[in-house]
Amino acid sequence: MAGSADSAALAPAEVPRPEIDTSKPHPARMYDYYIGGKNHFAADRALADQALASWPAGRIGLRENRKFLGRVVRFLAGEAGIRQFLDIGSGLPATNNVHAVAQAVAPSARVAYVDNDPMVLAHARALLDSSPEGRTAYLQADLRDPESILESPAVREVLDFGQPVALMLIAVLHFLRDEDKPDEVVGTLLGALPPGSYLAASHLTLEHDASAVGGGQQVYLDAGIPMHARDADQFARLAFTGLEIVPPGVVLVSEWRPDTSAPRPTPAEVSGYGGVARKPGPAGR
Amino acid sequence: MGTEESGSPEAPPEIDTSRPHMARIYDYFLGGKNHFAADRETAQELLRNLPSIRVTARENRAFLGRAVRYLVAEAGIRQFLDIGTGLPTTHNVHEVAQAIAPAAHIVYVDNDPLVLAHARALLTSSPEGRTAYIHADLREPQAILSNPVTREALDFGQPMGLIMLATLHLIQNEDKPAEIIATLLDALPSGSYFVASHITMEHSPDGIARGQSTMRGAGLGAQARDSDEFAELAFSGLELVPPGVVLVSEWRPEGNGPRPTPAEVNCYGGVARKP
Repeated sequence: MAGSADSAALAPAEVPRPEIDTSKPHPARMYDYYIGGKNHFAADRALADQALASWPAGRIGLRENRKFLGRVVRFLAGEAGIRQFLDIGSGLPATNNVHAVAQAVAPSARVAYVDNDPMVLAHARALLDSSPEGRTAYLQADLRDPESILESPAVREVLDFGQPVALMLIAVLHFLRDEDKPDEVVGTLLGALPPGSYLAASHLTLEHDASAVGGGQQVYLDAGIPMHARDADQFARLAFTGLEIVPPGVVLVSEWRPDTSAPRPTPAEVSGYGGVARKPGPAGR
Repeated sequence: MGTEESGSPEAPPEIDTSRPHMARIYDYFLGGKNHFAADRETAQELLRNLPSIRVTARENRAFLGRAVRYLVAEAGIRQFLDIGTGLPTTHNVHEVAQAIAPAAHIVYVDNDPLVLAHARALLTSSPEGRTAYIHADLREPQAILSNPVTREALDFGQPMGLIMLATLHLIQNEDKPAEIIATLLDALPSGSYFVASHITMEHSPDGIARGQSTMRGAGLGAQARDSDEFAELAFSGLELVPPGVVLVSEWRPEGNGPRPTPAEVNCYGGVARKP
């Protein structure tokens, strides 16, 4: 396997490199700001601070989401034996990057990262420090155009669609409006994966603190950034219909197989549901 | 050995629900159920000035778990004197310690009669170990040390872990916290450890100053200190275990998930060995 030195997939020549517009906020940079990263600009911080003014616990919720990601990938690479990951909406490199967690369990794990923020592309090198045995690649693309992700040579080179793949849609489905047909997007992606593949997803919810989280959502909408919280049932139906949900099911991200008995945040602070499910059928070709 | 309700004093002190108590306020922040209207009122006033204080409380509690695991697993400590225990919750010291060393002995101390009322949940010792509870105040360390229950459950000829978690900031300077600590540490043999954490003011000076006013206005002790003052107060003359006195969230963290910002945590902690 080619290791980190082979980053040809980083920026395929045929894809023009998009400009980083620092004057407009981008949710990937705002997320980075919330969880304590350093890759954000004044416009990102200003809008994030507005959202935090309405939802002061936002940082808690998003950190719990990031920790959920880590536990999920450990489960998938460990108990479920998954060796390939397609992480769409990966965000800026942070703690718990999928390949770091997965390759700590299985050094040969392969990860294709996808994000639509040019800033993530600029920092993608940090996502491409694969173990020598494994492989990572980065693709700039948009979840709303799943075919472009599935057909991308970069993705096809790194992932073997004849073997189970874990599709990661972590805190990203709430950026799709209902008119973006998120169920069709999920269906297209899952349709391309063999039985035995997994979907891991998390989603913002208003049900535990409608005024605070709803106010935060409105800050995004007013700035022209889509943000569509859904309740747990809507999210579960959207993401996991027809799949076999892994216990404990669709729960607050903080309650998904917690790895400590320390006290956990309140539902209102977390305001995010998550789950992991398996595509039925015998695994493998 | 085993579970013994050694904590019952002759005349149980009254539970005064009309006044706030820190143990119940802390329980409220942690999401517990053992608090009254007066506690919630003060807690909500503190929350207005320090919106992230629930993070403080949870990170502090998580630090306790990691510190006790370290002392039992790596330092080989088998006895604990936990002063300012608070209401039973997750990560009670004996649960963490006895999960690794079932024979561990723990004496819990708090000055809130409500903690005494709920102490049964702290007295669920493993059969091989021992837990006990005494109702006493940190400001009278000799009473803790000379209590027959303490003497019976702990062997002062063997090293032990002295724990003061989120408690020292309730001791105002006029109560001479340095002398209190010295009295307690003097009674412990070399090789004993001291675990302490303290709300600190440097990352949110205004919120902490207002919190101190709230506490004092409610008749509760409160003393804002910065991390240097805390380190000097708690650990002078002791050997600090790496990483030293740090934000509680940064003390040997588990997992590589993102951690809260300093201004959310506002609490330093450390573990040190008596040479």
